[in-house]
Amino acid sequence: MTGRWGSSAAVGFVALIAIGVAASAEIPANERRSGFDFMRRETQEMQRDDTANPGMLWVRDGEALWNRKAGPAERACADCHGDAKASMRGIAARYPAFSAEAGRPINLDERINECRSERQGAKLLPHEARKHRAPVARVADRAAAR
Amino acid sequence: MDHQSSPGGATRRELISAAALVPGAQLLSVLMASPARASTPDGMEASIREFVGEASMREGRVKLEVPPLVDNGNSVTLTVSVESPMTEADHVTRIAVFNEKNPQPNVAVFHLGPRNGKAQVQTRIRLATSQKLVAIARMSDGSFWSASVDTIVTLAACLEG
Amino acid sequence: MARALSNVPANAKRGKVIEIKTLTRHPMETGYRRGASGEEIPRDIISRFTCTYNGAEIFRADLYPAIAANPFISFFTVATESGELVFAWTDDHGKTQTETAKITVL
Repeated sequence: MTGRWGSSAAVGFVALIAIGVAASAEIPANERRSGFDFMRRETQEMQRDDTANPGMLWVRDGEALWNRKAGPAERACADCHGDAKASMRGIAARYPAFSAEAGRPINLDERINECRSERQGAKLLPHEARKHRAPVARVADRAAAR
Repeated sequence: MDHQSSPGGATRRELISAAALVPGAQLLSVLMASPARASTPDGMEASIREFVGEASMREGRVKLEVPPLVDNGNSVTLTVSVESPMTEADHVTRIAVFNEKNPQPNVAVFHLGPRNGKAQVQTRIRLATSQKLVAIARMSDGSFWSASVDTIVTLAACLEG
Repeated sequence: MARALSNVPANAKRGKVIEIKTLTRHPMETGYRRGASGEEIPRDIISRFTCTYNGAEIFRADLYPAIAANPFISFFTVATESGELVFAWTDDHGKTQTETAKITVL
């Protein structure tokens, strides 16, 4: 379009709106807060303390299950992924993620089950079952920035 | 351990809440406990009398710490500390904690002695509703000291529905 | 399966008062809940926790349904000598589970 509003200005204007919309939807990086900051002091202390945090009981289980061989191929998580401390670092923050195999987003529980059935040939762990929650906890714990 | 900026921090919090609510089954269970179950201030008085017997009880020396506003009644951190040298001659022998409105007035009784060095215990309890908590310490000389705290509970334990 | 966690320090100076924290896995079923069909879920709780230090009982707790699931108990003890702390959790039916922690006192 010609005239007072030149085409380049029009493009600039549209771009400005687009940026403005995007910016208003996102909290600036330095203002983002973890849910941890909103927890009460007692709950924060409980989370920090590895002896007080009841989730650690499941993390310990996960450590054992990580090394347990499963499926006809007798493969443990550790056989492919090695030391979870290194290989699973930050992973809980990357799920849910899109799985090409499943054709849809999956969460960490499902990803673990995917590994179990596809790569270990082992039985699927029922959702929320104690045995399932343990490796999830273990994997997720390794993911927590320490 | 820097949790403030960790996105993984949420996962650990989920672990706490999942563990506090009892694995799995509780999520399926159906509610409505009978209202007649809630204990009363009289129930608590009776339990306290049983613990203290004929002796008199004085307020002081005992510090009972509970968050005044409780988010989740299923897991409330409670700390009792008692001023005492904890020597053979002068120490705390028992600390009892009572509640006013849970189905049952007793919470716990801790047995201590000079080998503890410090008369302080901490645990996590369930609170059915906003109520008063009382902690009573029995000293080696037979005296009883107490402290009480009022709590406000937003999410109740014990009585569902 | 990890049944319990504790934080007994490996070493401690003689005479130091140390805090012992213990955590064990247990639903602490109160007996007040009802199941999906309305049936009462029976009470199943840990009713006693003890700690012995080289055989001598240094701490005991009588627990009631008001104690939260996966009971966490923390107390203090004086590091007197090297040896073992044994934690024992006993439920309503008399079943006991124990965990042992070693401590070296310097």
